[in-house]
Order: sequence, then C-alpha cells, then structure tokens
Amino acid sequence: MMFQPSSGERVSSFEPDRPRHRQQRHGHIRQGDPDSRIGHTSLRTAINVFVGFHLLAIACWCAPVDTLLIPLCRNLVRPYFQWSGLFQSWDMFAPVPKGANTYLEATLIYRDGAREMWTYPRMEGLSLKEKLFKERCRKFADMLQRDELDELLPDVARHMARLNSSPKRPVKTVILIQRLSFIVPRPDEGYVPEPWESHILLGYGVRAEDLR
Amino acid sequence: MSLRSFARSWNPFFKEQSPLPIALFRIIYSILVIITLILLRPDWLNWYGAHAWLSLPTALKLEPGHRLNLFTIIPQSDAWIEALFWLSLSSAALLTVGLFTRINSVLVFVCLTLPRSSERSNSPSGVLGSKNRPISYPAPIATRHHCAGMIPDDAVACESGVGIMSNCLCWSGVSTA
Repeated sequence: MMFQPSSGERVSSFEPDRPRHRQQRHGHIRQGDPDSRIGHTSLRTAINVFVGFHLLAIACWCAPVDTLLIPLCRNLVRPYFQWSGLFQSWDMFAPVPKGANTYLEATLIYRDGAREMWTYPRMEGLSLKEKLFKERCRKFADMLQRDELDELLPDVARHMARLNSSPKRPVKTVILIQRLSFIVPRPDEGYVPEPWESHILLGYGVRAEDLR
Repeated sequence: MSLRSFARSWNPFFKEQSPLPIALFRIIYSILVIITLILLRPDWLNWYGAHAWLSLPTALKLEPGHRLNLFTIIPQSDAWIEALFWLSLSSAALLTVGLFTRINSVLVFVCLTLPRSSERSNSPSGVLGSKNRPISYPAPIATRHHCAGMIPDDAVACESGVGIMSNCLCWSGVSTA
C-alpha cells in the first residue's frame, strides 16, 4: 500500500515517496530500485498483517461472549496463543464468581510419629505487603482445588515434605486437606457462610528420593 | 469514512511520529515486569526451582503442545534457574532505560513466557492410589474423596497404605474396619 503524503506532511524512512535526498542519505531506498520498493511494500504489508492479526485474535480471545464466530476464532488461534503465552482469561469475577471460602492445610506425619498441621498461605491472614508477595499462592491454591488438576497434588505434597523435613526428622506422610465453606445466598439477598467442611485431597507417602 | 481514509489513519507506523508515547509505554511495561520479578524473588525457586511446587513433567503434561519454554532448554538446576531470574531482571532494567531496546524487548517477552514451575523427577510417584486396589507404602496412599471425618489416629502407626485405607471411609472408598 502506497500513500502520497499531503503537502507539508512529514514522512518516515519507510515511506517510498519521501524526498530522494533523505532516502539516499539514510540509504534505505536506492533511487529507481524497484526491488527495494517491492521489499518495503512487502515489509509494510507484513507489519500490517502482524498487527491486524494480533488485534483481532486478542479481541476474540478476551471477548466475554460466545457467539458462533468467537469460539471458532479462539480455537483457530489457540495453538499460537499457547505457544507464545499470549492467552489470558479475565473471568475472575464473572460469569460465575466463587461460591465458597476455601483454604488448604496439610497434616504432616513425621517418621518419629509426631504430627503437625501446616497451613498454605491464606490471603486473609497476611499483611498488605505479604499479600503482594504471596498473590501467586492464592492463584495456585485455587488451581489445586480443581478436580481436573489432581495431577498437581503429588508434586505439592512432595514440596511440602521437602519444606518441612530435616535429615534427622523427615516427613513420612503428607495429607492434603481442603477446608471449604459454601457461601449461600439468603432470601434477603444477603449471603451467609456455611459451616466449614473438610475434604481430603491427597494422602502421600513420602519416598526417600523425594527429600533429596 | 472511505477506505482510503481508513487505510491512511490505520498506518501510523509508517509516518514520522513523536517517540514519546511508545517510549512511555516501554518504560511502564518494563517497570511492571521488574515489579513482578521483585515480587517473585523471595519464592523464585519455590515456583521455578528444580524442586518447585510443580514439576516440569507435570506442567508439560497438564499443558501439552508446543510452547515457548526456556525451562525445556536450560539444565534443570537451581543455578541455571537463578541465572534466568537475573537475565530477566537485567533485560527488563535495560529495556526501562532504553539500552539495546530491540534485543531486550525480545528477551523480556521470552522470559515472560516461563512456565509456572520446573522440576525433573524420575520418580514414578505420580500414580495415585486407586479406589479398589490397595497399594504398597510408601506411595500416594489416597486421593480426593469427600471426608466427613478426620485423619485416622492410627495412620502414623500404619506401615502400609492398606492399614490406613481400611480405617477410614474417606481415604479410599473401600470398606471400613
């Protein structure tokens, strides 16, 4: 695409129609060289395609609607987005916000028979500064409680065992527990937390190699 | 709006413009990256280290497909992963001050695509206890079940997963003692 600059309009080094003395000085376009013109046109087209594609793809990926074309577009760009890390979801508060208060605990059983309770960092118990540093913990805790991500749990149990073990006092068993209190809507549009329930997520017998 | 005027307004990239907006964007972007890295610093190895919360094999299993992933390239040692932190931070700092911005913008982008964690483990302990088949100890001895009760008191005394599983409904769904 070529554009004629209007009178007085400044032009850039990409512009094939810029004054010749400037083009020669910068060495971008050789006078009367058709290959250079084609090259610059191709470059401009490529940049336009790159920018246009990303604008469209990111808009489709983030759009909070599921019409016919949007999911199709998402599926088309998914491999590229996954490869490049451009995927991002924005559904923290909608359409279905969390309906329960939850946190994670672990019962650690040591080789000597002692038991200790270890609580995964909880945002409500941290200071503002600590919250800033531990925000990733909240996200990770949310992930750990999703059924489809159960495969994460043995890694987490191993890590907890390493954090809490010493050579003289190794952890023998890690029991990951989810504490859960549903937030139930009341007729007067208020919400009331239900009593806390416990779910065992995983019991893990620690191997010697896990602690190395 | 005619097609021509749309095309003209679409193409700000090819006209001389003030560099201030894009420079401001670059500075703010890289400062945000630096803040993110600083906030990650205390737990860097807990998230990305060789023995992190999430192992690299598990991460690759949960998120299959081709990814721009530096952890699959570098050796899985804490020293390399620490080096990756300092590379990310220095690239972001250079991007902020505007030094070697082209190469550092690419470096910062690539470093931002780090996976959640990394660990190489040859241990086959990812296999969870099955519902109806007791498994030998030590190994994962139970998996996600609703539990109205608590951990059995004799769990510590048990020398096998079978003993633990047989004492509590919530452990395995197997019959209780």
